[in-house]
Amino acid sequence: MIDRRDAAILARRWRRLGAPASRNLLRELVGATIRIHDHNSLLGALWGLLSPAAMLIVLHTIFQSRFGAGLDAYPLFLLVGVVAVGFFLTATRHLMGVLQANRNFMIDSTAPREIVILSNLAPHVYKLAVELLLCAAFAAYYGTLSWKVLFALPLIAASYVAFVLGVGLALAIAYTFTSDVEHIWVLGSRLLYFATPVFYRLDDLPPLAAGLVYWLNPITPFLISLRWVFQGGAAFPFAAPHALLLGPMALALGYALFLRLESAAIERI
Amino acid sequence: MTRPIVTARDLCKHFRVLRRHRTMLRALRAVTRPDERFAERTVLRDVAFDIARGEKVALVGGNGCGKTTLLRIISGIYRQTSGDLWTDAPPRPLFSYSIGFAGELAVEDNVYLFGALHEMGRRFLAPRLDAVIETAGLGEHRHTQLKQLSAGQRQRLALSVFFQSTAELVIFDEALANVDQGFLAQCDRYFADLAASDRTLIFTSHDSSLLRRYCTTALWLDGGRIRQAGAVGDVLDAYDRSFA
Repeated sequence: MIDRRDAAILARRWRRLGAPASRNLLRELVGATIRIHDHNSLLGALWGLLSPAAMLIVLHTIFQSRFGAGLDAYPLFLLVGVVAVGFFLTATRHLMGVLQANRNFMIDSTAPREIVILSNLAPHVYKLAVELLLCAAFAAYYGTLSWKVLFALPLIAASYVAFVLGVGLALAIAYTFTSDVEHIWVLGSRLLYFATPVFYRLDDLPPLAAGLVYWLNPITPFLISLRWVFQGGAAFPFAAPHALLLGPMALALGYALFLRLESAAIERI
Repeated sequence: MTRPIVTARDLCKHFRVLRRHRTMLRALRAVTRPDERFAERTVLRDVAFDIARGEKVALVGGNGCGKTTLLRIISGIYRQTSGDLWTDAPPRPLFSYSIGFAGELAVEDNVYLFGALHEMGRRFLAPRLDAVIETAGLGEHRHTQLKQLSAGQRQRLALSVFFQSTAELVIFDEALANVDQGFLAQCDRYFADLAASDRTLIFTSHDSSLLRRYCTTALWLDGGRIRQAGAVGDVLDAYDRSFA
């Protein structure tokens, strides 16, 4: 429960977070992070597209005949899966070590710590935006581009980013207490790729397995909603509202954990 | 009488530190016997003081006596374990020169980046950009990548940007260590102006002459407690004598 004193501290913190100086710092850090992200790279931002493209080719080659036979736009189906899961895995892995990587910032600066975390997430969000545009281009090619890209996509993508941020905050805190979290997360990430309908549909699974993959894997509702946006067709019941709820909920939980343990975590890094 | 800009009462700070290297077995055992796993390290004990608005305070003490921890608590970075602290103006501390800088970006970009970290926006800094870079002695390196500068040059750049801050309560933690003689003259001008102003300064340094020049009062921390507080000359004389 939040008492009156905690609420006052939180309100003061949010006021500070929304202040022009904080917004300016966020803008400067995001700009700098994005500019130096592909520094000294010959292909630069293209690497961001080459990685999902390579994954797409491999998965298409292996699974086209097994899972893609009944689908009109299997490459688009795969691309949306690769993009969604790739964003989750790379962004959460990065956020996990964000407190340690920015140790000086955390203990030598009065700037709100949320700003450092957001600025670290920014390149991943930028890359996700580019990849979603690529998905839209694929959808246009296959003739499945619709109004949903304009209206539903920003909401679902925003909720997904909120979800990833919430998970990332929780991981960042947990990682300061024990580095075992990293090993567990690496192992879990590998399993997650197969436990998410990236190259198969939920319909390809037995009903019990489909239910487990949908309800126990929080990425699945986002993935299904994104496919509904780009490919149309019938979505799994309530997948879009489910995804829209999951993001803010995960963010609220992750942020609450961050606020609760932040002081102890900062003293440990 | 005006209200103090910083008031501390019975401030204590303990850190929980691991007794031994963490292993899975010890972590499991700690679930039932948590006290065995951690030890309390007390850094500050019953620290109490007032800092008046416009006062220039030297904070002295040996290594590990709790100076930086106290400054971090005043700055709101650490939370005290017990006791009360009130600050009547947002503190603007300078603890490190390395944060807020991006080595791959040019000196000019880093001025804005470091400035943003200290709540100075582009609109504020743009008209001062030439002066900042000249003060740092980096006129020829305006478009040079920051990582190509020496550590001393980066420190000069950080200080030159920080000197633009108009914050009412400024904190320097070992700010002028390793500064070369040429830049020390620039620092002298800044601190002389600051000393003549009604802004508040908290300054830690192991250079006693520097503190005597710019500060009016001093706090001597010893083993996490205030050993002496008062006029800067008296406290620093006593502090210097403690090494004799």
